[in-house]
Amino acid sequence: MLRWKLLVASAAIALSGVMPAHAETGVTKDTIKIGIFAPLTGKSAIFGKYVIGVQAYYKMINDQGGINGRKIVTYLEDDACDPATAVAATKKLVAQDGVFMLHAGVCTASIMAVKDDMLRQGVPFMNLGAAGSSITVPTVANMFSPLPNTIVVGRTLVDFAMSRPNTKRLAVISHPDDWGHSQVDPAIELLKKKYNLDFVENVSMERGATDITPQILKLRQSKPDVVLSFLYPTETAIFVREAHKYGLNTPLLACFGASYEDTVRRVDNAAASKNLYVFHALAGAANGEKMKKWADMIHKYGDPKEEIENFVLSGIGGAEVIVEALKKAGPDLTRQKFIDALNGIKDYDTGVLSAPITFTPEDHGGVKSGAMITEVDGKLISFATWPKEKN
Amino acid sequence: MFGQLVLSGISQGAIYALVALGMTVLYRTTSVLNFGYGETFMLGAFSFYVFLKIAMLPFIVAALLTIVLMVIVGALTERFLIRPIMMRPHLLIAMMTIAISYLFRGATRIVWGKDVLPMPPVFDFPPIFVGDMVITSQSLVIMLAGAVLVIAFFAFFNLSALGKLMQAASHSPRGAALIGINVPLFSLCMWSLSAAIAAIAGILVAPVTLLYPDMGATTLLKAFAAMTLGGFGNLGGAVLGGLLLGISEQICGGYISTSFMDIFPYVVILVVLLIYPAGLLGRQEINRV
Amino acid sequence: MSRMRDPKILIMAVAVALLACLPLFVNSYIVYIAAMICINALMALGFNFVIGFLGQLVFANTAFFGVGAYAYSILLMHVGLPFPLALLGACLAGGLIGLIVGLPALRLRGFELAIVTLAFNELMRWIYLHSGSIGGGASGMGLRPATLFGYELISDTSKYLMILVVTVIGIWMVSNIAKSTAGRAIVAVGANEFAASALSIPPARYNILAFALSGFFSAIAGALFAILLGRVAPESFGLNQLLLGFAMVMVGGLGTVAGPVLGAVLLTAAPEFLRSIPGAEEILFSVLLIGLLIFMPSGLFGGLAALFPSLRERHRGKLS
Repeated sequence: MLRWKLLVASAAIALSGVMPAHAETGVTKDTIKIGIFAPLTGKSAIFGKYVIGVQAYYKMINDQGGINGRKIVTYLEDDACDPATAVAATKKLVAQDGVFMLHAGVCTASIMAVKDDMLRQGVPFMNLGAAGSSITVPTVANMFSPLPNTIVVGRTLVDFAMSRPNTKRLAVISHPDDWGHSQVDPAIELLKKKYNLDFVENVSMERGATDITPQILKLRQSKPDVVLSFLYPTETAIFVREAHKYGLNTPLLACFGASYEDTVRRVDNAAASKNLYVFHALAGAANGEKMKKWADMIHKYGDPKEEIENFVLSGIGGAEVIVEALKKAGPDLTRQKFIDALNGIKDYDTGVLSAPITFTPEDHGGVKSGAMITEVDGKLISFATWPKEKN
Repeated sequence: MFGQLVLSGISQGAIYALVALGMTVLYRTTSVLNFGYGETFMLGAFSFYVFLKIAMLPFIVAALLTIVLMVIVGALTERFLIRPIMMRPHLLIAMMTIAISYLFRGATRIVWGKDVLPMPPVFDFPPIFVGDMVITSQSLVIMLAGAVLVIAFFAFFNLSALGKLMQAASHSPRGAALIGINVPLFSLCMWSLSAAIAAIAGILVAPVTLLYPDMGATTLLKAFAAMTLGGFGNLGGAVLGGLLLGISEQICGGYISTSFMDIFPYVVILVVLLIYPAGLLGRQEINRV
Repeated sequence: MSRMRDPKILIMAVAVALLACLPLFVNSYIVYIAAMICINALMALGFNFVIGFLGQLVFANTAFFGVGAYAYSILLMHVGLPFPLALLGACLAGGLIGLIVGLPALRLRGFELAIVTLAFNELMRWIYLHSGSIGGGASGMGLRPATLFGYELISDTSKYLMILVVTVIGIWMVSNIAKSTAGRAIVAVGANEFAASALSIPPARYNILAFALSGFFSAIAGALFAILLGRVAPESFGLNQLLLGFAMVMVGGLGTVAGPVLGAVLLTAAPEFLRSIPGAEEILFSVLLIGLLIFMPSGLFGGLAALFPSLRERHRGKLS
């Protein structure tokens, strides 16, 4: 009896599925719905800051008259960087709120959990701030990422460290998870291939650990010239602080997972963060001249007191590309037209990211380079090779 | 490297010892194992942050205010959440302490949901170098304060009238009631004392760690490991267990594997309880009637 | 007696039929939440075997849940078993791990048992994290869709219907076990071990049985969870999951069958409304728990049963 009911039920569902759609989901006469999910709670809540710049940008576009007469409406959900929560959030955005596309995800695991489902449903997906290379490699039709991925980050850190004069001994600390490995492995490979060197010490730090004395002692013993760190924001701050405490005073190179300003604020000890360099993908320092336009935008359309730093700004590039592609896709907007328009984005200079964005049908990775940011004479400056001022 | 590891192990262990001691005091005298103690400790650290960094009070004032506040929190908890169910099975009381942990964590998260708070080192003297070893001012303070507190506590426990009362009550709560001890008031005092110890641990640890609402859980588990290692319910055992746990954890990280460090306390719990449940100094069984 | 029970069975059948038709009326997000409710109900029922029926403070259930999810994933992806066999294998793995955890429970009591199982939980999570290519490590492992009679369970509706069927069978099994001699023996052992052995009920055997059953049902829930998500990752099996299951059993009512199910419905649905307020979920849970512990220690279902005697189950746990 039960099976009979199931059959009827599934038949009815199958029928409802083939009903023709009159207009594209999430697009009305005067609105386009965009779904966002990011961690607003939990251990990785700091990454939720990506949302701030993005929402301010969309508000500004609406203020300027919108896109082809349509205003952008955003729907925000919390995924807490937990895959199960991300799935629920995505279902809500897509099935309940009926969004046109997603501009979401700061944690790779969250995006990977919804990737297949979004592909099946043909929902365009722009990565908000995650760095895993698996998002766009191999290329799938609907997933795009404007930001450099973990392979780029790993290699940039090695090249930057090796551009320092008389540098031979590199050491590394990382999280022993896939995120960490996806950066450390390309770093090891590049160091071997290009410079014929190995890391003199390679230690790991569990996420959520608060004491890393043994790791730092091991690093200190290996007498490194430069230490590379592939850690999340909290752990980066603990590492920088403890390294100083135990007299590990070599330059520290941190990855994209941390932001310079945030780390300095958390460490709260100028002497400890004196030798810190952090990877970023912005066109200039967060508080510098080049970013002023974006800072003003965030202050005008978001919180007037918002502290401008890396995470707040880094998502804007993706939002710009989305708006550009929406414009190009024309007034008769469909998901397919939008994806085609994204595939046609060529050398688009966002002004906020360090390099122009190009998407092709074969390659959905946008910016593929980055630079290291540090403080020189009280000013944040971004460098591609080792600064002469700080040997 | 060995000396340095032992040193940083002692300063880590001093915190575990304090938290384990605070839990053991409550467990011995009221037979309640407080699963919300990690959050009590977290709340102590956060309050200290507020007094020191937001209200900009001097260190001593902020520390005293934190202790007073946590004593009040402890008393309120006992009076309004524990006392109404005091006569129910111990399972329900344990569940109440879990509910309390939810409450503290949720309340902290509403205020600081998105942030991890930094604290500057409070005692920023230059570190002392002894040969190859570095002794930072903060770990020195933790070790000294931990030692003073533990000595003061045992002196109080063995010499003062209330301490003697605590000893009596820990041997037989029912007997204590029979000879005219005001059990509810006594229980209120113990909850406050235990919260005060959590506050002190929070004050000591706040400057060396980063504060976030979920920090209590790990501390709780480490305190459990310390208690188990020393002998469950044994006051001296809690202190000894805490120190040993801190030291062996560091040595494990330094010589075996840094990624093994994080499950070290859990392995200690499993090994001790499954092989030699009495722990180092023997456990104190408390059977609630 | 049988005349009394007939209308109940009819009501149940109608309820299940209505639930099966749910996807006709709501969007796939609601269907997904409904599937999550089913899974959490099974998980809470599994938890209830030791915490409710046996009356022991045991925190190993997230480990059982995780073992179910990982065993299913490994059997499906590495061993290559078809979906029904992988599901069965996962349940058996859960039962086995329950049995193993049950052994020390014969020696350890009260808080020590709670602490050991809490440690065991964290240990399992560390193992998932370091499982390398077998379990996918920190980023987890993607699963191929379950296939039933040549039909791939990809859509939310098909997954939901399968999960609903398994859940209904599971609830039916649990309620029969609870009414059986073995179920009552577990409650008797939990209530008073000495009295139980005086009545020639061997406590050790029923202690272990309760753990094995707990592992079994939690593992079904875990396997269904893996199917619903289409992947497993260590994040899903942390302390939060444990406390959630715990709150479900407590809020619904310890030692009953309907209680944990009611708790699962409430505590899965409620957080969906509080999604974007950090901390609100925890405050809600704590207020609910504290209120119930003080005013209605037998849980919501216990409170309802006190008002409507016809709801009463004949197999009540120690605490109600």
